[in-house]
Amino acid sequence: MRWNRIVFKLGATIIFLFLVVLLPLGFVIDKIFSGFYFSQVQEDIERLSSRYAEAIAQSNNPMAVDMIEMMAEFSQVYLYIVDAKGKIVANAGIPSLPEGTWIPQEEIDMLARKNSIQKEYEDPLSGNRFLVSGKPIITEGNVFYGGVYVLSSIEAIHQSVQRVRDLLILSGTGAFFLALGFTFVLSRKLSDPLIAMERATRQIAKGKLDTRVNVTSGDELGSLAEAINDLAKNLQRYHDTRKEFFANISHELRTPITYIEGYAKILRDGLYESEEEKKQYLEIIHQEAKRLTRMIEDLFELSKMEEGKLDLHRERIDLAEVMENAVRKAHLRVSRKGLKIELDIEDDLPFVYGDGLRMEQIFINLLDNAIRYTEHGKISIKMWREEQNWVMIQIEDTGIGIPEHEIPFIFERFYRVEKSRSREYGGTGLGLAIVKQLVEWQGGEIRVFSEVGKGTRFQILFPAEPAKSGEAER
Amino acid sequence: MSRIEWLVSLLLVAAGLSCLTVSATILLNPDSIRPYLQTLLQICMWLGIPVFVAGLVYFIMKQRRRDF
Repeated sequence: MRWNRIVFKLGATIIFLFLVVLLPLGFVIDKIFSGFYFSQVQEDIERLSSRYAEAIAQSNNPMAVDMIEMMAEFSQVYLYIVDAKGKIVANAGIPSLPEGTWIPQEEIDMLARKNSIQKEYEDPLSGNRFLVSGKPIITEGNVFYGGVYVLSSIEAIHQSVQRVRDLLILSGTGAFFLALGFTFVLSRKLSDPLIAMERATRQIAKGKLDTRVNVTSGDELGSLAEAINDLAKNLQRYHDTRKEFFANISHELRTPITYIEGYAKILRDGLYESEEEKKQYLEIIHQEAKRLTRMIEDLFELSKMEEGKLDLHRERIDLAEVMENAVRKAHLRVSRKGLKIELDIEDDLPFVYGDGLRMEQIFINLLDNAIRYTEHGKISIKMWREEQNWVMIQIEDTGIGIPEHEIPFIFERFYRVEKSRSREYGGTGLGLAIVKQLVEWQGGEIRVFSEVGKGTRFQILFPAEPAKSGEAER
Repeated sequence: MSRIEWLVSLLLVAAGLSCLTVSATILLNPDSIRPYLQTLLQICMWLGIPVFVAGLVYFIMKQRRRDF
């Protein structure tokens, strides 16, 4: 059994706290009880000695002392009575103080001054110790007659207290066992989720990324379990994406190379029938080589961005101008596909702080995407000031749209919505990944809304640069 | 928790309750088992007070969480 476990540490802490409370409390209870018992006995013997002293003082019977001695012996009360000179005249149950012996002079003086006496007495014959209460006998005429001493055995008190103390210890042990039983269950219940999470994370670390923790509570432990599950999901997705990335990159690179290799072989072996066919093959080789170059450039850029090595030449730029340039470049392809392009830019759009070329790259990539996936309809571009300090750019198409479950993944490298028709649509599968990186690098946000069959709307928000004097009237 | 762990904790609770029952009853010099059982019942009732309060608080919190 391994003792260095959270369940034992937690249990030991709870038990430690319990003992820290229980032991001093037990000690205090013992003290309270002993004190209470002693004071009770003291009160009893004081009351008894007062009663005997009053009885003797009020009695005219010379036999009163003998009667009280007899009664005390009969009732097993320890007592002795002294006369006015301090001589013991009656004794019940104290063999070491026989009749005729004398008590110390200072005691008789105290009694004569009507004072009570409280003391402890040790019997020299038996070795027993007694609590003693002495009361003066003062008759009605205010004459000092002597004193009555009533004794109670301290040993008996100690025995009684010890018995109660034993029972207190037994009840303390019972409380300890009870606490131990509940603490065991409690510490297991508290530590079980932690242990489950520790096991799950070990499994995840070993590569079993489908491991999940059962979330049972809404507290910090539940939140931790959810975080572990999210981490596992992200790792799983990262793992799948990486696998898919390597598969994609090899496929995407191999395809144009295969084309180039195949058509180059045809041309080398003269396996064409006309000059026109030869030109067609050369055009394919040229297109595929261009595609390959673009893909390698895109990959290179993306890796630079992901490593944080991208150089941005940031300055105050007019996004409207950048957009107009991008639209001009895309215009030819838009017209070839028979699409319409609408541009609606708000007046007095503030400047933003960014890299003009990279901004153009963002817009071109998004327009490129819109043209590629739109067969009929239009592409509308809107730009406006959003909440004073932001500039919103919206590019909306009437294309094929993106299924809702695929939207979270469209910014991943080589992720394609129409996987089976990716060659037909063209593109490298890296455009949106680059867009997202570039937007975020320049302090912006990108959002996408789409509906299958109706179209896709990309929205980009950039923080506006505060206008300098003279530029507000632009 | 495994079955053996539940058994151990139940035995500990039972031992604790027995000790408490004996210590609370023995000074009364009972002549039958009945006073022991009565004391045990009373101890269990005292034990049930915090359990009841904790259960009530848990129930109220659960209800509130459901309402929000």
